[in-house]
Amino acid sequence: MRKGWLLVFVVCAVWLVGYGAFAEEPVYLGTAIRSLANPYHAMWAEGAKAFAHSLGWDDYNVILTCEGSSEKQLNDIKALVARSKGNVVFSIDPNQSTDALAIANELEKNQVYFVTWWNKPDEVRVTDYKYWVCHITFDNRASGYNTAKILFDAIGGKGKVFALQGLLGNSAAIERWEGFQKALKEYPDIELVGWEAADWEKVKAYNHVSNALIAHPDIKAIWCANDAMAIGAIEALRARGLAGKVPVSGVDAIPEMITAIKNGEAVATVASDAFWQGGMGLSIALAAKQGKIKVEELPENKREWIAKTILITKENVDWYIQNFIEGKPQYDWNNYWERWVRGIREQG
Amino acid sequence: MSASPKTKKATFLPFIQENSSALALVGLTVLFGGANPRFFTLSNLFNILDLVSLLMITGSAMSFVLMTGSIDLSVEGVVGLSGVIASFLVKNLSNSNDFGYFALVVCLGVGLLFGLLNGAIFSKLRIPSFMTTLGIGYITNGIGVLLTKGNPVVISDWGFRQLGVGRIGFVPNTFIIGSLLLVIMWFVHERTFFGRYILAIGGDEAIARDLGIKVERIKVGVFGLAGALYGIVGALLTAKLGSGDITAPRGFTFDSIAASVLGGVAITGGIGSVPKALIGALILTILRNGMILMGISPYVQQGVIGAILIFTVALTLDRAKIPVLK
Repeated sequence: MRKGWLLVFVVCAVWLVGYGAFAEEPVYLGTAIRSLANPYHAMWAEGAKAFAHSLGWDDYNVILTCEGSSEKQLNDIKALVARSKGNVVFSIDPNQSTDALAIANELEKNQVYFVTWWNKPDEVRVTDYKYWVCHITFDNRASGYNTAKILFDAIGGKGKVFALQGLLGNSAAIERWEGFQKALKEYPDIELVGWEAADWEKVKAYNHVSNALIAHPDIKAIWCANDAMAIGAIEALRARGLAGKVPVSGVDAIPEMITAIKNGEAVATVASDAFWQGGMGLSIALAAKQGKIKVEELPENKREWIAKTILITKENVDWYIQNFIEGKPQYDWNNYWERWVRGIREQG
Repeated sequence: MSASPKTKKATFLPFIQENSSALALVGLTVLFGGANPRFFTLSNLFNILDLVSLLMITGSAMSFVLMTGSIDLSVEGVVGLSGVIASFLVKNLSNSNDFGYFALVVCLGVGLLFGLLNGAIFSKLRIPSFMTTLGIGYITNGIGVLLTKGNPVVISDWGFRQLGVGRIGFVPNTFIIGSLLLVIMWFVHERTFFGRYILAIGGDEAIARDLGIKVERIKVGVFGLAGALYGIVGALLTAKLGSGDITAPRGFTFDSIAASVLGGVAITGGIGSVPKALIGALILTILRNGMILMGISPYVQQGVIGAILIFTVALTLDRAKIPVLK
């Protein structure tokens, strides 16, 4: 009888040890983004969920939304660190550039690995930190420049153009604007007759474009720093029977914009693939925690880097719809550097 | 010698103060018209009617709330949620519904519901209106996010879209609908006891109570009415933009309050009317229109509006003191 119990005990012990050795202990996967109320970040959250699911850690996937409050973002991050007792990695879209510093100091103190996106002060160097695995962004200047060129070509390289800026002082707005300016210099026959800041928003874009069309009834094309504003512009054009006649460009690749390109009302947008961002940020941070990526061995241009974007025009819009909207591309979450283009501090 | 300029001032200053917003509207029109001849074209007139139409509805709704001495910060949430619900009910790309114009009725109901909720929580539980409505604003916004998962719901019902983009002759449909609503509100305010009580409560709630006015009931009614109007605006906004988008009405709360105040509705309650709210909405719309026509730098436009707002509040507050000074 006693031998029987011993056998059961031994079997259990072996099973437990074996389980501990082979199954990885789950780690909390924290995603900190602005909100779930816009298609871009909603898709981001989907990507995070898909990555967690690929590991079977669905219950450990935590999405934190700050709704535009820097303080809430930092507090939510602190709370998750405390709740998980430090057994957590983060993928963060800092609410504002300056927030990256406070977040980095907090996570560094708690020895939590993390990846940041988009917003970081230029003078802050990721290489000064041990747990800040990398900062990834996209080439906003290229997005502004490429969409502007396609827009200008669509009207034969000459005529009056109007432009909508994002929130003034936002780094994405400033950089996309610089790209747009660069394209303007290359097209001497294009005249920028006016621009307004529509703060990334649809209704403001609608109002500004309505007014601009009174000031300049002969506007030939409208460049927008993001897609929501581009949709607002298209609706303002539609109310005046001009949708499809005055081409519009944007950035972000929201579904409405893809439809507009398909319908010939818009000519260009840029996708950063939020789904990929959502999964890859977590994957890289987790790889660092699990030792698959040795942070101290990474060269500087992989600590702060620019990732590939997809320029969408009428030429490839069908391919994009097939692969990104109707279907999902196959993501290899272990191929960390697949979309690496260059270091941020390297010239493009 | 010293008496005559004083009496002159006494008649002149109140006249300016009483009609400051109408005078400002005339002044702006002359200024912008002089600066750019395109301002006085027919196409710009119809453009301004298009741009003012939703703001004049939310602005008048807000002026009712302000007149009772409260404030409503739930505009964006309620407009956004109704807009999203409208997009789910008409023909759209996300489900197979096709209820057409019936969506407008549902939106009115949804707005009314949350408006009544605002009023009930605020007056029965005695939580300040700015806190209550802020909370309801967040809740409605949250429901909208939950329903859409953050993606705008694109509508394909061209009949419904005519509400937002169609015109009769050159006059935008939204402006016609807005005008009808304003006439109804004007009637309610000027010709019913409910309307009189609103100003009475805003003027002095204690006296209104002593007179036997059921203050709580009136307040719930005002918030309900405002909510119902936000609901209609939500449906119209969806028709205008072609999608139900919870983030679309961002800025509506500020604009509604600004329009009321610019029109001369006292933010402290007790003073206001529907025509005042309409004038305020026109001032705000014409300001934005004119600044673009004049080519004023976008870097300073926001600042100009802010400065004018403070100036106007100073004027209206001064007027509110006149009865007290007597």
